[in-house]
Amino acid sequence: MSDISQAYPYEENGYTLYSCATCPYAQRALRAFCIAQVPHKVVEIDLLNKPSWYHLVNPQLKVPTLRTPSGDLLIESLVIAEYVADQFPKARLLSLDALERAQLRLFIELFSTRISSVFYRVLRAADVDDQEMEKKKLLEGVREVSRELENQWERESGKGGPFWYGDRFAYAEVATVSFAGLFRVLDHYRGFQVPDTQEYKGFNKWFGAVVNHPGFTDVKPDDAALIASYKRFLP
Amino acid sequence: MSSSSTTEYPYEEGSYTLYVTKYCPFAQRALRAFYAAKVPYKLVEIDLDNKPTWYHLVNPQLKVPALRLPSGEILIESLVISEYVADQFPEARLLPTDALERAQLRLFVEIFSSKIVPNLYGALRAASVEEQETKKEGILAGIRDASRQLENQWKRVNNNEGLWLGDRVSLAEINTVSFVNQLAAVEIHRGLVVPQSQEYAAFNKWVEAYSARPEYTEYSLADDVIAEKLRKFLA
Repeated sequence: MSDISQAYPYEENGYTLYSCATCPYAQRALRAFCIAQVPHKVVEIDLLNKPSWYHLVNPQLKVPTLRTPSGDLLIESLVIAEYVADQFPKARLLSLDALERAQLRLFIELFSTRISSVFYRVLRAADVDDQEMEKKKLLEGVREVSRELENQWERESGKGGPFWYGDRFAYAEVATVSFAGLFRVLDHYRGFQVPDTQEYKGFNKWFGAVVNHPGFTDVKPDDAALIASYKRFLP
Repeated sequence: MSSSSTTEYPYEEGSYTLYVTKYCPFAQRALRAFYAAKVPYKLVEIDLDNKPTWYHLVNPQLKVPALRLPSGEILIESLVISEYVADQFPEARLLPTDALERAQLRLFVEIFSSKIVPNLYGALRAASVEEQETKKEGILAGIRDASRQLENQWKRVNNNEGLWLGDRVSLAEINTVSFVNQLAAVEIHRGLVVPQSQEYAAFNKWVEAYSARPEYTEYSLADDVIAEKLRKFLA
């Protein structure tokens, strides 16, 4: 793959994705490539022991980073995922309709602020009272996401679910399922589970379909590695 | 403007309705997008210090901007709204069509959202001079980053007229210039000075270029007005 004289390793004339298997942001980029079926080389970056050359790829030292065949470097997980959607339109990752795109972006934003961000707060909370408060907020977020999914499934582009675009695992899942996968971590460290009641029906239907889809399982880090990688967030 | 007796909030039938506060930099993204795309709409001004009792029906988060479509759907989030306008009115060319160029434009906008804006409000809020200096340096670091990206971009488009896409306004300006306008508050209250040296040259050229455009001047506010509006953030 790499010529020894290169300042940093990359795939000549191809896509190189600098990633970390347990990082949910990096998984967004990986999933975009996998769902779009675009060949790519993965260079795994150990976030706790970054290679000395990595600053040449991303001065902020974060993952993911994408190197395109032309040598351009892109950062930010959603910018990379959207680049894949734009560059490979036949994969139909993202609808072309302006309103549908806007509604999908709002869903991703909702998921991020009401679920993903709260995960970390549940893990970080030092005392039990704070943990309980954050868990309550998380459940509220799951209910909101649940309602949004049900709204979407009434629309033409959602056609009854179980995914955002009906029967297709696509951009909405690419952007969110790695964070949904963190429920496994919360169960392990904080005994947290989403109830199986009416208010969570939409989320559970979606998540049940997600965990069995290769779009999720193909890029899923192994449970033990994932759980171990989140230990450092505990107080 | 019409509203039937069965509706509970004001809107324009068969048209776009934009709920904004004219001095809000986030709302200005939506205003500039509609202006640049030359799309007619009804403007409903929201007094953020005295919100109408019906506004929660438009946006439960009570923020501006919000956009009601002719079909009745409501969109929130300034970046989602400006991108909706770009998608819905492609003839306005507010975004490039090439995937890589779109990604690079998004990353330029991201510098403002992630580096400049938080430090802008941070500098105002900071109580100690030491913290103010740290935040001011954060703003300048963001500006240097933006300057480098402008230089790279102008090499790519081979067009040196000063806007991101060269000679025309795009989301690169629409999504950012209101925050550059806001920097006046940090200049007046915290003594921020953007140098004229080489590292800032591209940024300064870009500011000069867009400042002459009606897309900017239609909604920009005078420095002393901005300074007064943002006084409430001062520690």
